[in-house]
Amino acid sequence: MIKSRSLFQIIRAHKLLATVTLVITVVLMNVFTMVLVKPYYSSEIDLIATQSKNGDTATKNIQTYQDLIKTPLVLAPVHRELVQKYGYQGSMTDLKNSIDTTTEEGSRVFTVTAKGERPLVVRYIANRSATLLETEASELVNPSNVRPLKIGKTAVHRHQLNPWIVVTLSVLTGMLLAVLLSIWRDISNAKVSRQYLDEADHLHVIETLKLDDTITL
Amino acid sequence: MAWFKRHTGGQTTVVFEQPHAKQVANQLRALRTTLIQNHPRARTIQVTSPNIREGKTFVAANLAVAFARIGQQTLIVDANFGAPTIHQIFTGAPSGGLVEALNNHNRNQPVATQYENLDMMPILTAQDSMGDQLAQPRFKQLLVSWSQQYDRVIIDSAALLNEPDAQIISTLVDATLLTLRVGRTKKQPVEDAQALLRVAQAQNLGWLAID
Repeated sequence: MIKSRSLFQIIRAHKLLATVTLVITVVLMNVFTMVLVKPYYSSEIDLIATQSKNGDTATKNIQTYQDLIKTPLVLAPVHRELVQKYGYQGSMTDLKNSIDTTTEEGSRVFTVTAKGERPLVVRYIANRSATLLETEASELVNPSNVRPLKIGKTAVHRHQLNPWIVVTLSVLTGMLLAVLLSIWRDISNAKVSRQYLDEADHLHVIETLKLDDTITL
Repeated sequence: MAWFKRHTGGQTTVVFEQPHAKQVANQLRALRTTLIQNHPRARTIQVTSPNIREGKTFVAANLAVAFARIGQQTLIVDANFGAPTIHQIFTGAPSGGLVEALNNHNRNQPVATQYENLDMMPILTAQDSMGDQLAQPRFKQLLVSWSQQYDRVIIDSAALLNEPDAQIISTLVDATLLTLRVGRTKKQPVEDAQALLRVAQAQNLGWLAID
């Protein structure tokens, strides 16, 4: 089909189609990304487990604290306050899923990260859940071995697609579509069309048969 | 779009016996009228196409029926040695066919079909190209004999660009009718087929476009 002509020649023969396809694809993909793909925010807060008087480190309880922060004991008040203050519409499960905890092995520090679409909400989730954990943990774990957690700094980060990545992907996609459409157009043009028969005076068409799907040749 | 029309595969339709194919039947009647008025002396007509599956058997079979329906004694000859199908479209009781006739078997005469005024000379089993036999005087003698017996002789031959048979036949018949399928036949084979007939100095009736 395209063996007799190089790809470059095919594209050059249909350069208008290729150019229009490329431009439309780039524009549509970038508009789609800007309009429909929204950024999200994350807020992190570091928590430090203090050492007990008898020398036991609190690192053993880090996992417990990480589990505790996702329980209804901590999250239920947070959820209630979010609904009241910010009109939060997510469920308890949504709230739980928006929180991640991470820690390094052997470290007394663990990080609570909240993610969401509203910066104020994610900051509130991170701060409030950390505050409640400090309040509730000392009542649940052996009080004589646990000292209050110290709260570190709070940060909010905005996340969105790198625009250069979007532009690059859209250009590559547009180029691919342009090539495919050019090849398709080249193949289509190789076939006899109604217009070709009307314009080709040297081909004497004496009759045209219009068939429907019920006719078998 | 023409791409999604599937007309091949299955028994060729004889449109004159299909109530839903009146429009196509009328178009074929128009073709018949054109041939009668513009080419009254064309008694032997070959139907061919640049490549396979471009409607030549459909046109040949239905054109033959069209002529038979107006009382013209018509013979349809299957000269598509590689893919003979006329004996599948028309019922008859041939003891032999064109191959046997070319080999000087005098017993092999055309046989009547289910249509009044229409006989057929089929090919019973597929063969390789018989260009050499077609070029010999025997085939021309057969054509002359048939044109004396019948008002019209319609020859369904092989694709023009695939085998030399159609080109050879085009030099022996009164006229050649070419078929093509819009949206399927490529432009270059159309040009090549037209050029081939010009080189052979054949009488080209023109193109029948199947859409």
